[in-house]
Amino acid sequence: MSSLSITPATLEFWLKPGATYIQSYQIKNTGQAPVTLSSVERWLPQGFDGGLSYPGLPLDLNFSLTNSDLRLGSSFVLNPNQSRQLVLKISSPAALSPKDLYFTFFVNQQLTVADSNTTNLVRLGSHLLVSVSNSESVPSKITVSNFSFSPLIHDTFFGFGTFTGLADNQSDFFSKIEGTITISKNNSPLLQMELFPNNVLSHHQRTISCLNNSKPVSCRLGPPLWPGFYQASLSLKNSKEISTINFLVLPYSLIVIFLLIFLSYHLIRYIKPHLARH
Amino acid sequence: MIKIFFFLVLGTLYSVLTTPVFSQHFSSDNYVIDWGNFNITSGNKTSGNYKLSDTVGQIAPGTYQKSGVLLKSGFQYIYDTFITFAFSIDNLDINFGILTPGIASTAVNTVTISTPSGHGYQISSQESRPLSLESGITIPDTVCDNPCNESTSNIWVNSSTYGFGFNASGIGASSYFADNTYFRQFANVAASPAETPQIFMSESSPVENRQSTITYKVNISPAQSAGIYHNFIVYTAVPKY
Repeated sequence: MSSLSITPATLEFWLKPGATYIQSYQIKNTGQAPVTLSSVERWLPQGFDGGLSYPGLPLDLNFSLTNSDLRLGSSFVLNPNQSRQLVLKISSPAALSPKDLYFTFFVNQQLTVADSNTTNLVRLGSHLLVSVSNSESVPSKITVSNFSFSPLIHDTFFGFGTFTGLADNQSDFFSKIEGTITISKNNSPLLQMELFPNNVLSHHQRTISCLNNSKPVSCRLGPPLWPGFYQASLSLKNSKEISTINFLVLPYSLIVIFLLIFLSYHLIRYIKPHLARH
Repeated sequence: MIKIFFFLVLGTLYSVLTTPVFSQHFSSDNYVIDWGNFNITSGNKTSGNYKLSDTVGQIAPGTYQKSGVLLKSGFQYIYDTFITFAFSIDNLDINFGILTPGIASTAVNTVTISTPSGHGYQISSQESRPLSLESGITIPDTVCDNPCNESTSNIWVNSSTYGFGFNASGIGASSYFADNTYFRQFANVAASPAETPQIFMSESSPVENRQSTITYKVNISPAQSAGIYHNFIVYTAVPKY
């Protein structure tokens, strides 16, 4: 069995060109595989849901371990039920131009020859989201596009309607989505949903999700809803732009049921005399 | 009237100045220690019937909310921020035993993942090479009954389809494998050009002890050379950003 954990799992920080940042990681081995290695790889966002890929880009920042007995890439023994602190030093070259850089600090198992056909190895990563900038406060430039609600005609009693949209970050630095969706009827607000503060990376888009019990969930609107016209407005903090959509709520499940009853009644009324004749 | 006002001011001053300060003070001839808090106990306690998160001894613990501000005061709230990322595999060594041509052999293991609060995960896989003998003879990666590769899964039930591949079943893997008859190749990093490790399990929401069963399948042709075949599979687990 192999079981590894890493704390913290993700880091977000701002780094001035020429500056150094030091972060300690706690690696715990609760499995039986003893040997591990550490490495750093740079990644790029992939898709719109927080996924990523490793295209093998140059690191651009300098990484090293400050542990006296270790260097990055060297193996160290972490026996079962042992934990160890790795101290990662991140230095930015003074000439580095302001930009975002995203990395993963990996803890890997080392390849060892085994008697089995297939030997499994574990690699566990912790992300570093680094904004290299001379300024501590970078203005957020997030906008939301394609804000929509599906279905546009929603049933009063059944089914969920879902709000979707893409948060677009046009700035050179990552930022978090901060905003709300307000649902109104007859110009009076009925409900407010808070957007989950997902990271939107530099010059990248991310689908919006809502905050529920500290978790990101789909922005869904459930029954029952009074029939009528509704308006949903998405507003972002630090932005004056408001995206608004309209949707209609109808009791069409009830209408279908009444239609079925009506048709059945007339069908029975039509069939009954015919059956009686036979 | 002035007297009443004077006594009111005096009374207010007295009550302000003599209000007890809720902190801890320890002193002797040799030392003085002032602590803002004297935490007696805190943490998460559980049994089969209850789950309790508490702070005892801290000044003013609790959740305080005002427009735009949420304050969680108390040591137990540190457990709200689960920041550890953990990944495990129950069986590292997969043995298929003696293979019979045309009869598929399978083996399974289970991966388990827990993510930090607010983050989903993605797990990708890669192989060091196809299952190989030291001489370099390989059991090729499966192409399934209908074409499949390292990034696309497809049905593999036909006994005359030979190769090595895998299936994953579980909540996070359902969008990569339609059911347990679907298989795909491991990305071969020794290929030329090297194949990119492929995600086979992911979710956008945080999970705790989410499990997936990996089924490894190998089926050889009658012409396959005898010997002990071997490769390494690397599973890379990272949180979503």
